[in-house]
Amino acid sequence: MLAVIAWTIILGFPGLDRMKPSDYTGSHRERLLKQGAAGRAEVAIGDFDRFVRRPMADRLEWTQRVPRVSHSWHLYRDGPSKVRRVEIWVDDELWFRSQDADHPWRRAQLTMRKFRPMVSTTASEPHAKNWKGMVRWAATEAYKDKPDLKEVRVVGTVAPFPSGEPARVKRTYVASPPDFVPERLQR
Amino acid sequence: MIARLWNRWVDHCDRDVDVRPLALMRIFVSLCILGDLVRVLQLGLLDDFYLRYADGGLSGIEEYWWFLDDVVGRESAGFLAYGVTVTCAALILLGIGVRPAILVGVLFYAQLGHGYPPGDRAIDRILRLMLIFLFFTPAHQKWALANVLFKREAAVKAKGWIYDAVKWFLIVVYLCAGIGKLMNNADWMGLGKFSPLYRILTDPLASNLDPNWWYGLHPLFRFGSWATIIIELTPILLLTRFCPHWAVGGFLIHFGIAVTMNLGMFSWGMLAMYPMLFAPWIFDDRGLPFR
Repeated sequence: MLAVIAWTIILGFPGLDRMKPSDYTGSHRERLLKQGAAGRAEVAIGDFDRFVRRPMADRLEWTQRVPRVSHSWHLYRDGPSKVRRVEIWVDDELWFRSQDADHPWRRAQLTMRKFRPMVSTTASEPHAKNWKGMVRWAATEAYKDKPDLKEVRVVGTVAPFPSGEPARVKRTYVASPPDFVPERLQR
Repeated sequence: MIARLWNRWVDHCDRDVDVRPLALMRIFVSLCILGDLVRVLQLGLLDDFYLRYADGGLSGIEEYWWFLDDVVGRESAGFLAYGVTVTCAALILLGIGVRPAILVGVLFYAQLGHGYPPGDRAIDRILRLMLIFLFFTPAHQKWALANVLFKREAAVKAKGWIYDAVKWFLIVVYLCAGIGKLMNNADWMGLGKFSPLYRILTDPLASNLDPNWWYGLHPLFRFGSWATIIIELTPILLLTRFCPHWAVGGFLIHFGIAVTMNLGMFSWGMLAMYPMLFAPWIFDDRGLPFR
């Protein structure tokens, strides 16, 4: 039991696991030290993290890798800042749109929990690599349903909360037969 | 003094507790994993998830710890890992060869995660860890088919430290989540225009709720944000007699997520651990403590 407690505290101490060394070093550290007892306490916690917890955590890290477990949890933090959707257009006809019951093509797959990260990063993270696999998948699946298709476009749209205003196109990717190599038109 | 404290600690960890909540946890955890993986097959996504991008799969991420492809070849590694994990989950569920199935199953389930990292979410990690905890318990000897097949006597009790370990782990999970939320955005406890819970539960990429329609009920989400933080910052109550009372709040969070969002087995996987939290309320008293 003590081993379990030690393991979890070292590898995933709540709160400390989210701190970065820059949070309590350099000029930020100086500012904290001038803020009285609370600032000094924060610096002390930061030093504990930097000199005690992190070195031990680095040495124990491998124990998490093999069974791919974790002791640091960042479950849903605060949600997206804008309303983002993904649309799939096949030859200028809308087949799928997020949260749109009128365009439900492959909805079960696209909203499946293991697939969803591919969709959401395609819509929101231009630096992620997932769009390539996602766009190629959409194109090859569409080809199964429409063998004479010319082009499949995957579009990421964005609108403010609540989304009364029309959404604007933020990202566009295309793929065409016969090889369905995905291309990015707009990031 | 130290010897006395140590003896008390050892006695506490060594106390006997009821094994039924652990057996139910074993069944629910394996059921979640099995259901989730069968769903992948049902949706025809096996190739897409577990082949590399170069071979026609979805993900371009290549992890160092995905070593099964070096052993059996790139095209069959994912399918092997999938088949072994499904088989092990079924064995754990049925209660046949549970301990070996946990050992093998966790390793191959982890390989599935290394093979397709985008699809290996927090809940997968939590469930793997729960299986590792269950390995050290007699949960496999209660409500198990092996008891019938091999005429084995069912287990009645387990050692108390495993209750403590599971609860401790849940405390860490919920505290990390709660503190992380507050560090990221103070609006969780504030009066901002769009409360974080509203933005999460109406995100079209993850949820079923329409952001326009539900904005009319925004105060409800604001109250929900506060309630979420209160629940996530107070899991220490799991170590007290108020454990089932706290679990009502946790249950409501997860049930709400299950109804409104497309997170698959996330909620059900978390709730798979709740039989232990609700034990005093759902099991008859057989003279063995539930905490």
